[in-house]
Amino acid sequence: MGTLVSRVQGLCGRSHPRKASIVIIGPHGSGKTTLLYRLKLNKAVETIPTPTYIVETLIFEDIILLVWDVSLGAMGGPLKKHFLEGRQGFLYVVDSTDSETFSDARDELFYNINLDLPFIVLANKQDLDGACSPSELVDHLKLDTLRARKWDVCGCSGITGEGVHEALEKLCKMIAEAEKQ
Amino acid sequence: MRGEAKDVCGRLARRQVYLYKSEEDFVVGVGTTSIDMNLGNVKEVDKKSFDLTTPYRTFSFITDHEQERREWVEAMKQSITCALSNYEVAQRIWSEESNRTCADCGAPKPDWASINLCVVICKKCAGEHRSLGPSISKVRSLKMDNKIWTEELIEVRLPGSSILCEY
Repeated sequence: MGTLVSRVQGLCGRSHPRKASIVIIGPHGSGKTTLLYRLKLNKAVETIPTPTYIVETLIFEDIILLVWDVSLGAMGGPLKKHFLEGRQGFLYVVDSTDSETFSDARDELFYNINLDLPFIVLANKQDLDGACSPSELVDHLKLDTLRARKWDVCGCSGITGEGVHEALEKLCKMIAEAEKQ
Repeated sequence: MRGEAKDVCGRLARRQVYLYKSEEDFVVGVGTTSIDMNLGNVKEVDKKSFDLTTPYRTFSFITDHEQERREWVEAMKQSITCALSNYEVAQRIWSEESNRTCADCGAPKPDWASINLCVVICKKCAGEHRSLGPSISKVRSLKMDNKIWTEELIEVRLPGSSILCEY
């Protein structure tokens, strides 16, 4: 009987799938669009620089995710807040091999972004030589000074797909926890 | 969110789209709404319709003819680029003739550059360069990355420095 009840509940749950909308941000060329299509199509696509943003819907486990891949360049910095409004979380993508972008990434995370949202910093391009590890990235971005907020760091590669789904899974869990509170 | 209205008139300004309820309103200039193009994105849906999306709302337009849709989409795309761009750097770099064509494929008015290889390239080639990784080519936009364009970076691209890279 118990299993039947839980099964019925399970079915009811599935008829109203959860929805969430998240944003992918990060410096130019960090691999945002590649990650977006890795998540949606599970393959590596060839990209050109994204002019403004791309929106894609994808189904991840039992959640319908609306994913915004936002690339506004240096001119669009102040506009990012519009894209974060009403979202449930975000992925911040950093190219782990490009240490020159670390200071810009740090400034953006510390000053331009609403950090009340749960977020995951993705140390992307782990498949390349010279990529720093996720824990090294934490040091470079001085993320440990953000300890009070809900964040995590994951290593991944949009090209090989390694770590990408695990990171999204983590973010979805963080979003679910944030919603409960 | 989706709203529905019939026979809307639209007017595209440099950085905004204005919507009017009717042609009379359009003539008088009393609009119902304006959309800032720096937050917009256009997506072609089918032959006659297209979506203008913003982080807050999606506006779906249906045009009478395919040609009309093409013109609107093209104009809106230009307006979005314009709203997000600063042409100061691009104009200065284009003042050198060799910078007016893509160093890799020869396309006109290239608006991206590899800052370490000292070449100006088009968007398509910028994608190729990026896939090589930043240790080989650091790709930046002439129009959207204004902050990184220091005097030195601009000057090496001006007369007397036409270097062509082949890989």
